[in-house]
Formats: sequence, structure tokens, C-alpha cells
Amino acid sequence: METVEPTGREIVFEGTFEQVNEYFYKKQWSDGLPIVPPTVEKVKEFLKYTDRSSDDTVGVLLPARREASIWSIAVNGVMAGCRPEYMPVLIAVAEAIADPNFGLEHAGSTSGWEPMIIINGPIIQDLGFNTGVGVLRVGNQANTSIGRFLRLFMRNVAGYLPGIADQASFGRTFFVALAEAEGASPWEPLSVSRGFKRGTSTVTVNSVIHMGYHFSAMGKTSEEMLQFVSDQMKSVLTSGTGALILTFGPKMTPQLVLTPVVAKKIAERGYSKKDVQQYLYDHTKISASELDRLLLMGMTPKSTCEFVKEGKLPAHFCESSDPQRLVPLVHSPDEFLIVVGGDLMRNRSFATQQCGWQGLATTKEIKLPANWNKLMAEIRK
Amino acid sequence: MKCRGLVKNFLVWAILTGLFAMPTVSFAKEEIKEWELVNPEGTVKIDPIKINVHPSTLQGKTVMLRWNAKHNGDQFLNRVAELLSEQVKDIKIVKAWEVIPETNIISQSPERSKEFAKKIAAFKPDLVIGSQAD
Repeated sequence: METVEPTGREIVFEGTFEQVNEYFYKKQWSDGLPIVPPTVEKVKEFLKYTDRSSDDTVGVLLPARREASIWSIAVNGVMAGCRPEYMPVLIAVAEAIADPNFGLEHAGSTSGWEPMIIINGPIIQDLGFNTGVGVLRVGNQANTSIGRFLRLFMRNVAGYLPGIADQASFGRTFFVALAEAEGASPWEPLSVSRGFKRGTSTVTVNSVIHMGYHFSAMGKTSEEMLQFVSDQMKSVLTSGTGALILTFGPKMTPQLVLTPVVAKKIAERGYSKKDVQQYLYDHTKISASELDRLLLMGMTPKSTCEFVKEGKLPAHFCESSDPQRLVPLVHSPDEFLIVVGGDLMRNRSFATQQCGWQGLATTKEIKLPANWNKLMAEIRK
Repeated sequence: MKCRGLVKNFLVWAILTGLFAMPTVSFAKEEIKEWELVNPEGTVKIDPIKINVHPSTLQGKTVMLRWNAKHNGDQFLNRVAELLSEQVKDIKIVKAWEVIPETNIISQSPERSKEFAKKIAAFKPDLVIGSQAD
């Protein structure tokens, strides 16, 4: 029996708002919340905010092998409750997860990791993202709907339905997009750390397998605070099977998010972002025997030095056979992503563990249509 | 008197009209809007593949067991090997993790999966049984 697959353009349903939501829910096209009905007119509104053809694709998404087209991005953006002007951000998010570097095909992991979107650049102000208090709470339309869009897109186009391709034992709900408080940060934004020119708007999508407590970094001096931060980072990177992520290489991208006041306190003694990365690398360590113990419980039970011999860990993990030698919990300092945001004046920070080749941080530029300024001016009228 | 009669008739008329009109006025329904909606899924891009003919019997055939190193997958496959050897005459069991140990790992990418598949195919198995225990 031949199955006819939808093309994406045909009308699939007509009905009232309640009937629409009932139908979409039964088809597993919604996330359980009411969706904004994706009419052709609404989709076309979104298409005004990109110069790309609606037939263009950013990739074929695994595991469902469906095309991530500009059209399907717009449809899911409508459903998620995005505004049409968010379209350039949505396209960049889709490009990030379609990039083979990201490893979207691993998003059905039983660990239930969830991707987090970090926004940088002038787009933050253009679209009114929240960068301050409650930056990860639902409530701001840009942050919330864009976060919702990603999970809807992963369901509807990549095919991640719970119990089918999505094998998360528990899972978690989507992360609200985190917009960096660039103006309040003493350092360059994440986009610059990721190789983009200052002033470029970007999205970075990064898997979060574990998020630590939103701690207050104790200490009177920058060094005391940094040591406290390092302790919290160690707790996150060794939690559960966290240390095994080292063998999910060759890279990993754990994250540290600091409120502006904490970042400024650390920076006031001259610590640049690179200095903080180096500090974390130098101080977030465990003994080789402890790492051996964790690695020997893993899927391919081997010691740290055996992994080095196989080329799965860098050489400096096995500089000697001393079991008490200290070894880092990342491969190199630049793996730590540092973002500044949240309540301007509160001492809070958090660290996240990432899942190696599963959802590796991928950054894409947000490309605006040629008439962006004109479109924004019309919105502001 | 005549005037009072007219007023009385008018009042009766007004009350009766009100009684019949009120339900329509009080419970006027909200206009129901209908939408025509497009599909949120994308177009599937998949090349047709040829499915190998399934052997009608495993007697005399080669069965390869492939483990991806996840916990206890080997135990499951070892038991499968025992049962097949007991129940099928002249069956040949090959354990991939013993003969091509480099495939005994999560492949991490579709490209590496294809490489592993080629290495497994080089043994010309009639059937491959994989375990991805977790």
C-alpha cells in the first residue's frame, strides 16, 4: 500500500478554533497547549520577514527525514504564537539544529536533554526580548514563543514524538530562549566568543542535559567567587554520569550563566572572559582515580589512560600514572560557554552540563531581510 | 376609559414581546470563525531502498550479533546466541564485538553508521541482530 505524504502546502483541516485544536492534538501536531491556527494568510505574514523563497530548505531533519523548509518554519512559528517579525530568528534556529555539527539525530536520547537557545545582537532590542529578571520564565512573547517553536518544530518536522523517536524517560519542557544582557556585561557577548563580529545578531543552540542549582557565588574577592563558581561547575559536570560526557567528544560545551552583578564583580579585578574560562579549566578538576571510577562504570569501561591511548581523550589526561593527579572535566578551556543575563542586581548564577556530540553548541547568524528597518518602522508606528 | 384600554393593550403587547424576544437577545451566540489550515509537517525526503529477501530458514546460515556497548546488550545477545545454537541446525554465530571490536560503540553519526554497516556486511551475514540496550 502506497502512503501519500503531505507536501506541506495543502489545506489539512477546516473548522472552529476548538475543532482545530482538537484535530491538531489528535494528529500529535501540538504540544498539548492550544496552538495558533496556521492559515495560509498567517504563514504568508511570516514570509514577509525573510528574503528567502518559501521553498528553500535549511536541511533535512532526522530522524523523520523531513525537509526543514522556510514554509514549514513559518507554519510552526505561527502555531507557537510567534510574531511574524520573529521569522529571521526562527530560520536561524532551524539552521542550527539542521547543522550536522549539532547532532539532532541524538535528540531522542533517554536522558531527555533539551536544547537551549541563546540570543545575541541588536535583534534583542529590535524584538523586545527579556534579558533581565526571570529571563528563563514564560511571559515575554519573544523569549517564550521562540522557545516553544523549537520543541514544536522538533516534533512536527524532525519527528520527535514521545515514545516514538523521543525516548526521553522523563524529558522536560522547552526552555524559554535566553537573550544575553550584552549592555550589562563587562565582557564580549557569546556571539563574539563564538567567532562572530560584535554587532552581529546570532542564535546559539546548545543541549542541556543537567542544570545545576541557581547559586549565589559567595566570596568577597573575585578569586573567592570564582572558586565558588568552579565548585558549582564541578558539581554539575560530575553529577550522575556527567563525567562520561568527556568521552562523548571530541568536544563538549557546558554553560555558565552569570547575572551582570556577578560578572562585573569577577571582572573588576581584571578577569576577562578567557581568564574565567582558564580559571574554570584549572580549578574544576577531580582526581584521576575518581575519573577512572566514573569511566569504568560507563558503556565502554576503560580507564582515563586507556581512553587517552585510543585517542578519545587528550594526552594531558594521562601525564602520569599517579591516581591522585588532578584531571580537568573538559577537554580545553574554550569549551566553557559563558553568558551574562538575568536579574541585573542579584547574585545568582547557574551551570549546565551539555551532552557532547548530542546537541553540541551551534551558532548561526540571524539574517535579516533587506527591508528590515522599514518593516520594523511599520511595526513601531 | 378608552385610553386606559389602549394603554393596557400596549403594555400587554410589550410584555409579551419582551418575553419572546429576551431569550434571543440574552443568549445571542458568538459568531464562530472557521479556519483553513496547512500542514505543520515538512515534506519527507527519503530515497527508496531495496529490502533484502528474508531467509526462509536460518539452517546453515550466518547470523551476526551487533552490540553498541550499551550496558547489558552483550548479555542479551549472548543469550540469543545460545538459543539460536540450540534450536537451529548448522547455524554460524558471529559476534561483531569480538571480530570487529571497533564497531562496538555508539556510531555517533549516520556516516559512521554506514562505515560500521560495511564492516559488518564484509562478513556476509544472512541476518544481523542488533542490541541497543539501555
